[in-house]
Amino acid sequence: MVKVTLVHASWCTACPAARRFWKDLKSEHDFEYEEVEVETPEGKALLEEYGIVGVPTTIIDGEVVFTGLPKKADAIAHIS
Amino acid sequence: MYDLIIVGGGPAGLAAGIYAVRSGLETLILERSEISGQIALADIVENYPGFPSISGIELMEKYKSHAQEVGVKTKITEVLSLSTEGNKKIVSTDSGDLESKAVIIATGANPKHLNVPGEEELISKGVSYCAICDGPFFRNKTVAVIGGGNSAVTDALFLSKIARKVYLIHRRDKLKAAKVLQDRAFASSNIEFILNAFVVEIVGSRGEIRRVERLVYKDLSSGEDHKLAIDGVFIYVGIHPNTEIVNVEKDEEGFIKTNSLLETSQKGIYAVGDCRDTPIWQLVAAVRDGALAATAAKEYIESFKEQMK
Repeated sequence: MVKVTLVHASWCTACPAARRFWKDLKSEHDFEYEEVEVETPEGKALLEEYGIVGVPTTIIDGEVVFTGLPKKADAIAHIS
Repeated sequence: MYDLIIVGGGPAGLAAGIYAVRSGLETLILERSEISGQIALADIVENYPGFPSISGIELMEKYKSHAQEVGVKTKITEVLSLSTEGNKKIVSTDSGDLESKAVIIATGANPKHLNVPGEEELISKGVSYCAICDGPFFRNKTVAVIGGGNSAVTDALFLSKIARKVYLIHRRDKLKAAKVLQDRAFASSNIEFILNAFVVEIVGSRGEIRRVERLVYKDLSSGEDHKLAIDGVFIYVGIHPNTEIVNVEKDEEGFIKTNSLLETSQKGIYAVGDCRDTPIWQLVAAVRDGALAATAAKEYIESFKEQMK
C-alpha cells in the first residue's frame, strides 16, 4: 500500500490546508497516511534524512513529491 | 441553480460573497482549502485601513468569520473548468457540476518563479516562496531574498530576525517597496542590498541529499557574474495568475481582462483580485473588486431573472 507522510510545522500557515487535503483524500482513497510535525524527534529525523527545509512537504513511498498544497489530480496520480 | 458562484475564497472572493449574500443572491463560494489567499502567508499586513498591524492569517480568519456570520456558504472542492450554456454557467468541480446565473472568478495567483537553472529541483531544499512557512528553518543561516517590492522587503525584514544575514537582490537600482518598509530595511544591521543585479543560477550541494549552497548573480553595472554562498533563497518577483480554468480574454501573462464593472469578455462572468489585469495587486484593491463585481453581478442577474425561472 502507498505510504504518504505529510511533514508540517506549527508556525506554517499553509500547513492546515495541506493536512485537511490529505485527510479528505484518505477518506476517499485507500493509502497509508501519517502526519509528522517538524519539531518532534521523528520530524527532525525526516528533515535530516531528506534535507527538507520547507513545509508542508509530502513524502510518498520514501520520496519527496510535493511542497505546498498539491492539485487533487496530481495527488491521486501518485497514490493510485 | 445558484444565483452566483464565486470561485476562490481569498479576500476578493469573500468580499464578493458578503456583498452578494447581503443583496439577496443565493451564493456559493468554491475553494480548494479552508484558509486561502496569498495574504494568509503574509507575516504582517500594515496597509489595510482599520488594522495598523495584523498578521495575514489573522486577517484572513477575520474575513472568513465575517463571511460565515453573514451566511456565505463555502464548499471545499477543486474547480476544473467553467462553461456557458445560454444564460447558464456550468462550473465543473472534482465533486460534480454546479450551475449558476453568474460567476465571479477570484482564483488569485501564485508566486512567479525566476525560471533559472537549479530553482525547480531545489524547491523545499532551500528555494522558497514563503518566508513565514520556511523562514524558521534558516535560524542563524544566510539567505537571499530576490525582488524589490513590498513582499520582498517585508519578508526580508521577517527573515532578518531569524537569519544571521540576509542579502536582498533586486534588478533595479531602487526598491519598489513602500518607503516605510525601505527605511526599516536600510536600518537593519543584517540586511545587505545587492542592487542592479539578477540571479542567473541557484546551485545545490552535491550528493544524495541536495540543499541550496550558493547562487550566481549578474551585476548589471559591470556585466560580471558573482557567486554568493547562501543556505536559502526566497523569491518574490511577481505573481502568476490562476486562470487556466476559464476561457475568457486574458493578457499575455494570463491575467483576465475586465471592463469597468469587472465583467470579463463573457457576459455574466466577472474577475476580481489578483487573477485580473489591474494596476494594483493589493489587498485593499481585491476587497474593492469583490464588492464591485458582486454589485454588478446582482444587476446582471436581475436583468434576466424572470426569463430563467
